[in-house]
Amino acid sequence: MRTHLVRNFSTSSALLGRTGVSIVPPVHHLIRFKKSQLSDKARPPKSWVTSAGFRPQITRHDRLRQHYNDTLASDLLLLNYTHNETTVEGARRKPRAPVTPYSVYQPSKPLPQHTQPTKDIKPRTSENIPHLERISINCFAKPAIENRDLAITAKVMLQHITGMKPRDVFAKTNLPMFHLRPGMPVGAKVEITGEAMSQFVSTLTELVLPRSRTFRNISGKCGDGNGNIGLKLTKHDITLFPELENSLELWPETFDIDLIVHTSAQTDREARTLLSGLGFPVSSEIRK
Amino acid sequence: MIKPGAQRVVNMLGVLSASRRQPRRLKLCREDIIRHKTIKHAYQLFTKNEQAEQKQKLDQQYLRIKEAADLLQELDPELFAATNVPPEKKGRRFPLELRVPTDTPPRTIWSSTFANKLR
Amino acid sequence: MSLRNSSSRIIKAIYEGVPATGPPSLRTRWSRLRYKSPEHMQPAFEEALKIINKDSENQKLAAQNASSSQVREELYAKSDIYNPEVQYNDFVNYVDLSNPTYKLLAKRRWLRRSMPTMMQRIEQLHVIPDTLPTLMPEAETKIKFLLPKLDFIDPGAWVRNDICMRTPQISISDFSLPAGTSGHYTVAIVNPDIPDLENDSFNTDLHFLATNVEASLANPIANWAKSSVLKPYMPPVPEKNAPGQRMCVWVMRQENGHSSNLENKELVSEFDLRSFVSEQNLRPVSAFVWRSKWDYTSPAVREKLGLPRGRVFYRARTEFAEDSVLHITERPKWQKVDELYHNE
Repeated sequence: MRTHLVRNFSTSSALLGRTGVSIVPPVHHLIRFKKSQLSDKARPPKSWVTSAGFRPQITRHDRLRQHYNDTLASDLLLLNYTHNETTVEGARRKPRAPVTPYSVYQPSKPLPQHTQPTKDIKPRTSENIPHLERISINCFAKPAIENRDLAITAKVMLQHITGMKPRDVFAKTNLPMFHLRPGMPVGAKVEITGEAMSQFVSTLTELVLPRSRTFRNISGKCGDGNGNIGLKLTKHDITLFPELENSLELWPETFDIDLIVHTSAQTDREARTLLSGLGFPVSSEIRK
Repeated sequence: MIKPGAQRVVNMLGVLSASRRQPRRLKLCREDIIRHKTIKHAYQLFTKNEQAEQKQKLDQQYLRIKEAADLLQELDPELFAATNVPPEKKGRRFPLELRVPTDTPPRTIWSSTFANKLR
Repeated sequence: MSLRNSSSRIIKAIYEGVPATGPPSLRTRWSRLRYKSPEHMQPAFEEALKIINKDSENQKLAAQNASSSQVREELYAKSDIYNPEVQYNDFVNYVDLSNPTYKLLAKRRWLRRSMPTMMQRIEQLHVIPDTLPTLMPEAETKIKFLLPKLDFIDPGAWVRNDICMRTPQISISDFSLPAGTSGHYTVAIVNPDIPDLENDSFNTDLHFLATNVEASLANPIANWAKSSVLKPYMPPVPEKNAPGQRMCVWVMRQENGHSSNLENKELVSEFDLRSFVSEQNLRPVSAFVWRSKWDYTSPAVREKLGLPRGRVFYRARTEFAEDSVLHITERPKWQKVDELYHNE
């Protein structure tokens, strides 16, 4: 709820030909509130212990976060620092110079062909040290096209290795050659943050990747340009997760998964440096 | 009778919907609700203070880095040019031997004489 | 700060953990024995108490160095909010509202639910801007008609005519005043829905006006005997088939405190609330509205008040009442005319 001390009967908007006041009732909105707030059925927030939706949030010590706070943050600040940096403007559509009165209403100048708009790169300060935001895991189970039950297996597999409840993935395209129809369950996906993410990264970097026979280092030129790094794990790597390792005879099949590690880094270079600090094996930089 | 393959699928579905078997609401008496609220608020205060401390530490570090760079630029421009790497040429790596600290560390914490023979 | 102990056994259980005999707040022995407290809470609670007490001390120190008394009171109030004893007293509503901490908790509760509800009703029913232009709420107003089994009414409720016949009891809780002080208010009840057939419009009628009403958070109920009532309460007497009438209650704070100027004010026949507010330097701090329409108790109310029988309105407005009844097609004319004169 927001309170406004001064009521805005704007005079400038009246000059611009607008009404200047709200014409939709109630018009005297000095006090703003949500309608659901007034309902008899209004529920207590989930953070309250008396609420039915209450779940304990912080249940264990987060090793990875503490490592980041104690060691990585200050190191990354120093590593990424460049003196007297200025903002590097990203590619974006810019308004045309007002040559004639008509150019006000003309659409802004488009970007050159085959270029995507990019974000501005701001100077690196203590405010924007890159950190791990979330990890999204996507599992496309190809054999699920033949046997639908295997989509459930993929879902349970993701739930076991992440500790979070995955969502189904359905086919969108129609490929009669592969017997693929829209709406068929073909896998599962999940996004993990917080404690679950830290746990997953610890397991991955300490138990899975060192023992993997197929996994090579994260490439020195990977990334989507915005500081998000993708990597793949094969179905053999999955069997190295301790959650599956001890009951392998129960798993008829495991599936490849794609991970995307979302970081708050502004460039992929910084993201790769961060990942190397978190224990991922990362190759040295490769010039593109 | 369910076939063994089908039984496996049923078991898996049971794993996925296990959250529904959780209790609907914690039944706590007034005393425990207030005790819980006290602990929760204290933890919030604690983390808030911790974060503020961390932020202050980093801000201070940033200012010191800036001051040092300014000073170096003034004293020795050549050395400054050598140290001040532009962002597009950066990309240092933390050593792979860097470990996230654990409660059960190895017997030798850090091998000072380590050399990577593969390289 | 002195905190009144409502139940020493419960407070002891809060500080030292639930005893083996079960939590004292549960009533039956069976439920006390069945209850299981979460494990290992006590060490965490003791640590938490240390942190909270330290923070509270820091805030009190800051309060001592505060620039204005308002800031000081706020800091002082905030410093004790998470004290478990305060939390418990607030939970069971065993509070002393002249204490800034309890005042702040009460204010937060008001802001969460009652205040938006009140604003929604007065906006939806167009109390603003029909009676006064707008309102920035600072106080809570609650209204009650003293009858057994009848609690404070909801804002915007329809009230039966024989119930709202008696003078309402009004409770004014002003949260903008410093804790422990009282304010002086002017209370007006206006009805903007009196049919005015000549101008094809509605008139505004003053039903009640009292000034120098003293109220504080600890004693919020307005005492009409101790204030000066300029116009005694006149109950709403709606007429049949006329639209419902809004009884708009306005509570206005007298910025200069007790005023003898207001006390000796003579009311003119055409009362204008807007000019009255601006003339007398009043600040509207709260509002309330209830509605009334013609019901089966209306004739009796009119009889008790010694008023003549009310009019009956029909869909067509004609020179002679009999003609208007002709527009109702279902019943024969003699029945309609009979209805017109003998309904009430």
